[in-house]
Amino acid sequence: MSAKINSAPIIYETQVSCREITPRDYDDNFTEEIDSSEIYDLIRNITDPEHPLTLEQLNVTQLKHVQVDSENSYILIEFTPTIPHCSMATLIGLCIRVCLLRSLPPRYKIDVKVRPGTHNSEDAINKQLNDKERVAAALENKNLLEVVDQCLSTVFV
Amino acid sequence: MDVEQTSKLKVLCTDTLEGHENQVWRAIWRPDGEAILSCSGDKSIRLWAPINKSILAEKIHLSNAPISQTVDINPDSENNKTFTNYSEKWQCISSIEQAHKRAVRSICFQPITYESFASAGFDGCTNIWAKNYNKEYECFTTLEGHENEVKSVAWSPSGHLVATCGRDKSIWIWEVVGENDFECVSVLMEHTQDVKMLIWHPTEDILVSASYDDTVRIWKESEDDWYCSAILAGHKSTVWSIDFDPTGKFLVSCSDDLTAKIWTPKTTQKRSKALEFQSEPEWVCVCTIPSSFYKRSLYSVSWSKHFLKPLLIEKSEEKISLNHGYIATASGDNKMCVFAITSTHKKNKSDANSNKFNETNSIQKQSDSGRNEEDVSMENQDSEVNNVENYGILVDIDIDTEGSEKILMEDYTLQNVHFDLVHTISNAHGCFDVNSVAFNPNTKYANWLVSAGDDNNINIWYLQQ
Repeated sequence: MSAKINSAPIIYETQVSCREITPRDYDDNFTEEIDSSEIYDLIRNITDPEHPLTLEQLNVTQLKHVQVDSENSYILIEFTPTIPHCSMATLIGLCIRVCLLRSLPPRYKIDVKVRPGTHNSEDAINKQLNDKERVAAALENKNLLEVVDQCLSTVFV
Repeated sequence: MDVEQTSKLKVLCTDTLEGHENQVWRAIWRPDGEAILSCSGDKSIRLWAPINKSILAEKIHLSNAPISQTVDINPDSENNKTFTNYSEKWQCISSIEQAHKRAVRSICFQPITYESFASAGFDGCTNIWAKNYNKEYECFTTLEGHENEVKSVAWSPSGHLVATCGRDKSIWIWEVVGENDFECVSVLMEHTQDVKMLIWHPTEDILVSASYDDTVRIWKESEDDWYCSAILAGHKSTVWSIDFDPTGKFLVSCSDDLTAKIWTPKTTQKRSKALEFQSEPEWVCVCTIPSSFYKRSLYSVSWSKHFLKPLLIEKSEEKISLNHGYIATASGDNKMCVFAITSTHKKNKSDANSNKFNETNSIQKQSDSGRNEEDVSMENQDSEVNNVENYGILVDIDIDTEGSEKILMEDYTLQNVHFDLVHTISNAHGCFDVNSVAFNPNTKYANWLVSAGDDNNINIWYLQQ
């Protein structure tokens, strides 16, 4: 493989789990509103496309950058690329979006964005990640989907 | 704005057409308005028709409907089912599975005979379909050339030209040289990003494109060469959809910036003079439906065909008002909105005076009429487009005076184009995005609408005035 974009990323400490498991979690009759820690538990384990590390270990995703508005079924995820010219940023964003599309009820409207000020092409990446037509087309691209699936293989374990 | 109180008409969902197995990208009416064609992420194309087409001519009254209120379909509620009063009146009469290797994004009918249609796919192909000897739809030609996803296909009203566009930023114009023979006559590369949608002018060979580069462009032909005659800049994000009014004098666009805009060419001379050589008119935005109506991207817009000529609704010494029918929008916040569109035109005092007036006034100058103040208070940032009198635009079109004295539009200057929200359908496709909306193109059936959504369904709507 060619040289990595960021060959020596900083690795951060991770938590075991963000949320406490309560008996309610096992009760199928009880439907709880989805909260930000639940969303974070899904995306923190996505593997970075470049490194054998999770997005949490690279500090790309953080709990405080997950916003959930249950009332309006709206979720905003902001992620922080490891370096401001990271060419993998769009792919990371796509992985986050696909992860949520596969896990959440369809009523949720999801925006995935780069944290303001953390990437040189912030606007272009945000526009692309939130264009439903481009996302739909990307998901029909076999090669791309293979990469996404690889990154997501560590999510649902 | 309280929607329920201002509601001047009702919109009734009369049918839900189920069958697609993935999101429906688009549903369009056949030019005669008596059938619907749809395309989907499931790679199929479906043709739908009413079992008895007389249902389209029926006047539907809410008293016939089980629920006499504004339509608000809750996906989780059993109420959804009660709309089946009119249901099962439509059926899928043809289904083309695997029409493309990937999602089918757009379709359009051959405008003269309707016997064939074109489809554009994410597989980079544009397919031309017609019935074979077994009366089954078969792909007779594939137009290849785009590098990747084809996002829109449009057949010119004359039937001679087909235009395609896609993610490769290009627009291809194809000439129909034989029954199933198409020849590329031009490749237009001026958009700087994906081209999302194409439409043709209702009567002339003028093409309009909408793009991810936030602009709309007007394309014309001169001695076999296609060129960009105008760039409509004003939207702040992707322009998803465009549509002409029935006269072709007004164009509506809608965008990811949560606004819809109405544009018109800034022509200042009457038709007879305009036919002579003149420089290309600039297109100006004369009305903005503001972002306060929406929460998420506007994906589709359609201009109703109620009035092929604008209808005179008011006439005084100084001005006239015209009714231009309705505009419907579909958006990612699960909503469909219907707006009534009217315009006011001020009588010119005399040629000399009006010209002088145009020169000495700035475009931004506000009118002090009551109507404008209302608009200003509603959405300040968009107020500058409400009064366009100082543009000096002459909308030289035939109008319907319902038999009374003929009015020469060349004597009037466009003062404003006004929108009035008349109905909102929240959750038009349950909790899913609404990808497309289209008014029936046949004036006889002008009250019918079709919408397509991410719930894999197509909904048919009736506007009760």
